[in-house]
Amino acid sequence: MKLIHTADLHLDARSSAHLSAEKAKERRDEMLRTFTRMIEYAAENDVKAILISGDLFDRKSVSRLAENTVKNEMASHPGITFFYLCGNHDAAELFAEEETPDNVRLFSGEWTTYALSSCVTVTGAELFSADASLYDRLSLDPENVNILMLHGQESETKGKADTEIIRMASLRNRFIDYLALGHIHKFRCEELDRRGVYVYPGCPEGHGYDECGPKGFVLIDVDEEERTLDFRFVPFSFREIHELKVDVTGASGTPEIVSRVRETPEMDEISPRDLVKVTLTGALDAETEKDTTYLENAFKDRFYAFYVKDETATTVDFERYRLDKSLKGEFVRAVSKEDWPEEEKTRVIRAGLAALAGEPLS
Amino acid sequence: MKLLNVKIRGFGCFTNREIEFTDGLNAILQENGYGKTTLIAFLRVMFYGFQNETKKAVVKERDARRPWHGGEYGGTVDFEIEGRRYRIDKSFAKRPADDRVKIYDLKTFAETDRFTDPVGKEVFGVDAETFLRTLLIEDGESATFVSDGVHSKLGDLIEDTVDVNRFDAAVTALRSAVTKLGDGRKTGELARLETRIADLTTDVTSIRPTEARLTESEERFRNAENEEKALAACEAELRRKMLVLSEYKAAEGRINAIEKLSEDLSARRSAFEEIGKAFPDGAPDRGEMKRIRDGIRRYESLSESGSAFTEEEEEEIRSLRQLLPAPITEEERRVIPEISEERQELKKQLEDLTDLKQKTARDDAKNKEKLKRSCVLFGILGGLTAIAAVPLLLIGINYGAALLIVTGAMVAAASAGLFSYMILALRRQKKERAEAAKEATDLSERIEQAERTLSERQNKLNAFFSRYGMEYRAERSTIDLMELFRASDRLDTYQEQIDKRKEKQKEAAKIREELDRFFTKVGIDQSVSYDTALEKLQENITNYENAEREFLIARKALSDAMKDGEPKRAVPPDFPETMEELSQAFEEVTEKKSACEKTLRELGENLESIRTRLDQLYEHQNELAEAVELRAVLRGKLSDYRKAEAMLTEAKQTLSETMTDPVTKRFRAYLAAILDRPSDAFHLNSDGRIVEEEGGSIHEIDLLSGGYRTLTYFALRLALIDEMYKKERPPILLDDSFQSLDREKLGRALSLLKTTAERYQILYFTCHESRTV
Repeated sequence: MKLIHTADLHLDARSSAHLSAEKAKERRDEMLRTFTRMIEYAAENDVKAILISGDLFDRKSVSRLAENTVKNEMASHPGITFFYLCGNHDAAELFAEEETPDNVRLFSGEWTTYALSSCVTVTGAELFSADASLYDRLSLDPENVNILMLHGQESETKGKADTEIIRMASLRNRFIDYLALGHIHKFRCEELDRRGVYVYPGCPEGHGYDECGPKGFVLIDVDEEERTLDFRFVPFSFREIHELKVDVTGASGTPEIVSRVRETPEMDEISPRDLVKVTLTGALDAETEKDTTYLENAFKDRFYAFYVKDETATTVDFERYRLDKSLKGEFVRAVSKEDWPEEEKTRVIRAGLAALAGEPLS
Repeated sequence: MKLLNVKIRGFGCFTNREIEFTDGLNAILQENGYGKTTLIAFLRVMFYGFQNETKKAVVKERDARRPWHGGEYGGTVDFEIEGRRYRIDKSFAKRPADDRVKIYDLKTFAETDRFTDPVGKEVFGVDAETFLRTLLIEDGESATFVSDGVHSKLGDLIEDTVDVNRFDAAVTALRSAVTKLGDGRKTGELARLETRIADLTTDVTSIRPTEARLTESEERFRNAENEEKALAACEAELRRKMLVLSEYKAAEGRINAIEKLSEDLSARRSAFEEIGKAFPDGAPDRGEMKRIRDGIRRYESLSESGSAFTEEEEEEIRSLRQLLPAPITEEERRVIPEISEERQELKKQLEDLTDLKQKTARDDAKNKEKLKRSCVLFGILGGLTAIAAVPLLLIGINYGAALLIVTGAMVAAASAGLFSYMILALRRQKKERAEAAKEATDLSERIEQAERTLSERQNKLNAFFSRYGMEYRAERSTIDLMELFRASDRLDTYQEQIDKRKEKQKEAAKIREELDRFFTKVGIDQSVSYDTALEKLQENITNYENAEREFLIARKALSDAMKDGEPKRAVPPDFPETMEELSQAFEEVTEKKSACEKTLRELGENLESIRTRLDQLYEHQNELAEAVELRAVLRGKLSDYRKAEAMLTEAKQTLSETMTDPVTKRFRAYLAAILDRPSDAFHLNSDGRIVEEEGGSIHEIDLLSGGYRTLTYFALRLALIDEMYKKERPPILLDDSFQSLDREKLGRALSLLKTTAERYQILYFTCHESRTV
C-alpha cells in the first residue's frame, strides 16, 4: 500500500522571493498546480492515501480558487483517502460538516484514529491547545502499522506545553512506526525510537530564498503482510530555489564580479526554470565600483528569477592613504580618525570616494 | 632659473632692443611709455605664448603686440636653468601655425628637445595663470588667492588636480543625494517612505479586525447558504407535492374528459346519422350542387326564351313557304349565280369569236391581194436586173473588165435577191393563209362548243327559276336570284328559330326531369320552386356538413384523448393540502428564497470585498516589512552621505591648510617684516584668500587700505614663490608694484625687495626714482 506524506503547502502564500507582482501571482498558481500534480501522481501510481500534516493553506482565509481547487481535487479522486490535519496557518473549517466528502478524514484536538486497512492506522491530533495530557491519552495497537500525524516543531524539552511544540520524549516507544510531521519546510528524517522514525517532508514548493534545494513529498510503501513500511523522498517541485555564495574578494569592478558569478560551477547546473539568489561575499576595496543592479540584469533572462544580495564587506587600506597627498587621501585619513564603528567608517569612505569618482550614489 | 638677456627683434614698441639681466635685483628705472609692460608681456609670450588665441577672441594679443614700426615680429630670450643655458628664439606670423620656434642649448648652439613650446610650464613648473599670479607682481592687481594651480604646485599634486577639482562636484552629489533622501523635506525619499510606513502601519492594524470580519461574514454567508438550501428544499418539496397533486388531478381530469368526449361523440353521431338520412349516398358535393344550380338557371333560361312569332311573322313565313316550296341548297346558291355569269360570258365570247372569224377572213383577203402586187413588182425587177446582169458579165468576161464583172455580179446578185424575196413572200403568204385557215377552223369549233355550253346553262337556269314559278330573264337574273336567296335566308332564319325553340323545349323538359329526380332523391318537396328547393337543400347540406364535422371533431378528440391508452385511475396524494394551499405556500417560500438569494449575493459580494481587502492588507504587511528595512538602509545612507560630505569638506580644509600652512608661515614672516602690526592675525582660508582676524571677527583684506593690501599681497606672493619653487628659484617680475605705498611702507617694501634679491633674480620696473632701491 502506498501513501504520500506531505505538509506545509501554504497554498495562497505570498512569495518572499523578491518577485514582481505578476511572477508572484504565477508562483502562487504554480504552487496550487503542484498540489493537483501531486494528486495526479497519486492517482497514476496507485497511492491509496495522502497525509497532509498541516498548513495546507497559508492563512485562515484563503481565495476561492485555492479552496475550490482543494475541494474539487479531493472530491474528484474518490479512490484516494485524504487525511487532513490542520496546522497553525490553516482555515478552521474547510468543509462544512454536511459537505465533507467521503474520502476526506479530518482531525480535532483529541486523538482520532482511522483504519486505512485491517492493519494500518492513521492517527492524528491538532495541537491547538497546550494540553500536555494529550500525549497520555494516545493509545495505539502495537500489532498495527501505526502512522501518527502532528504539526509543530519537534522538541526534546519537557517544559510547558506549547501549541506548536511536539514533545518527542512523550512519543517515543508508543508503537509509532511513522511520525508524519509538518511545520519544517525542509525534508528531514530522524529516528524516533527503535521502532519508528519521524519525518518532515518539507514543503513541496519553495516560497522564498530561505527554502532552497529540492522540494517534494515522501512516498511511503507499507508492506501489510510484513507489517513494515519503507519511504523515500520524491523531489516534485515545479521550480527549485538555489542560493549561491560567490566570493568577490579583490574584484576590480562589476565586470569581474559578473565573471566570477558566471564562472561559479553551480551556475551551469541550475535549470532556467529555477530561482536563483546570489549572495556576494568577501571584501572589496572601498574604491571598487560595484553595481548589483547591473549584475542582476546580466542574469535575469537566464533564469526564472535572479536576485543578488550584497554581503560584501568594504575594506579600506588605510596604510595606502597614509601618505596620499590628495584630497582622497586626506578624506580617508580624516574619517579614520573619527570615533565611529569600523563598518560605518567604511561606508562613509565608500560614499565619499564614490562621490569623488563621480559614481552614482544609490 | 634666471633670465640672462632678451633680444627683441620686433614686439610692440620694441624694435631691435637688447636687454641684459644680472643676478639679484635688476632695477629698471624708465619713464612711462618705456614699455615695461610690453617687456613683461614679451617674456610671458616667449615662455607661454599669446593670450586670446581663439578665433572668437575680439582682440587678439598677437595682433595687439605687433611691432609698431613693422618689420620682423619676434625675438629671443636666453635663460639659465639647472646650470645650463638655453635660448628661445621665436618669430611670430599672422597665424600660430606659421610661427617659428627654436630652442637652443647655448653650450652646443644646437637645437634641443629638452623643452617643448610653450616652455614656461616646463621651466617654471606652473601654467600661465599661475605664472602671472606668482612671478609677475603688478600694482593694483586683484586679490591674490591660492588657485588650484597654485595648490597643485605647492603640493606637487598636478596629477591630482582633478581630485581637488572634483571636490565641488562630489559635495554637490552628496548634498543632492542627501536632499533626495532628506527626511526633513516632505518630498524627500525618507519622508515619503515614512509617510508610506505610517500609512501601511495604520493599514495593517486592521488585519485582525478584517480577519474577524471575514470569519463573521463567512459564518453569515454559510448560514445564509444553509437557509437558502433549506428554502430550496422546501420549495422542491412543495413543487413535488404540487406536481403530484396536479398529475393526480390531471389524470382524473383526463378520465372525465374522455367520458365527456365519448358522450359528446355519441350525440354527434346521432345527429349526423339523423341528418344523413336525407343523403343516403352522401351529401351532394359542390360540383353537383353547381351542376344543379346551373341546371335550374338553364331551365329558367330555356323557359323564358320560348316566345311565339308575331302575326306578321307568321304571315311572312307562310308567304315564304309558298314562294319557296323547296329549299335552295347551298350548292344552288353557289352554282346558279355562277351559271348565270357564265352564260353571260359565253354569250359574249360567242360574239367575240364570230367577230374574229370575220376579221380573219377579211385580213386574209387583204394579204392575198397585197402579196399579189408584191410578187408582180419583184418579179419585174428581178427580170430586169437579170437582163442587165447578163450582158455586163459577158462583156466583162470577154474583155476582162473586172469592174464590169463585179458590176455584173452585183446586178445578178440583186436580181437573185429580188426573185428570192418574191419566192419567200409567196411562201410566207402560203403559210399565213394556212394558218389563217386553221385558225378559222378553230374558231368555228369553239363557237360551236360555246353555243352548246350556253344552251346547257340556259336550260339549268330555266329549270331553277321555273321551280319557283319564275322565268329566267338575263337582264334581271342577278336581282331575281338575290330576291330568291334573301327569301330563302329569311325562311331559313325562321326555320332555324323554330328548330331552336323545339330544341329548347326538349332540353327544358329533360332538365326538369333531372331536377325533379334529384330533389326527390334528396327529399325536397317538389311543390316548391326550384330556388326554394335549392335553398332548402343547401341548408340541409350545411347542417349535414356541420354535423359531420362535429362528429369527426368529437371522434378525433376522443381518439387524441385515448392515444396514450385508456387512463387508469390515479392514486390520490398522501397529503391533505389543496392545490391552493400548496400554491400559496410555494409562493411564500419562493419569495423568501428570492430574498435569501439576494441576501446571499450581497453577502457573497461583501465576503469577496473583505477577502480582497484582506489580500491587500497582507500585501501591505509585506510591503511594510520591506519599507521598514529600506528605511533603515536609507537612514544609514543619509548619515553616511552627510558624514562623507562633512569629512570631505574637512579634508579639503585640512588639505588646504597642509598646503598653505608653510605658505602662511612665510607669508606672516614677510608681512611682519613690512607691516607694523601683528601678522599672526592674518590667515589663508580654505579658499586661499587672505583674511584677518580682528576682534573675534574674520574679514578679507579687501577692507584694508590700498597700501596695506599691496604689502599683504606682496608678502603672500613672496611666500608662495618660496614654497612653490623650492627646487629651482625663478625670476620675479615686479611692474612698479609699490605705487600706492607711503614712504615708510615703501621703504620697508624696498628693503624686503633688496633682501629677496639676495635669493632671487628680480626684475623691478619702476618709472619713479623714489621707488628705486
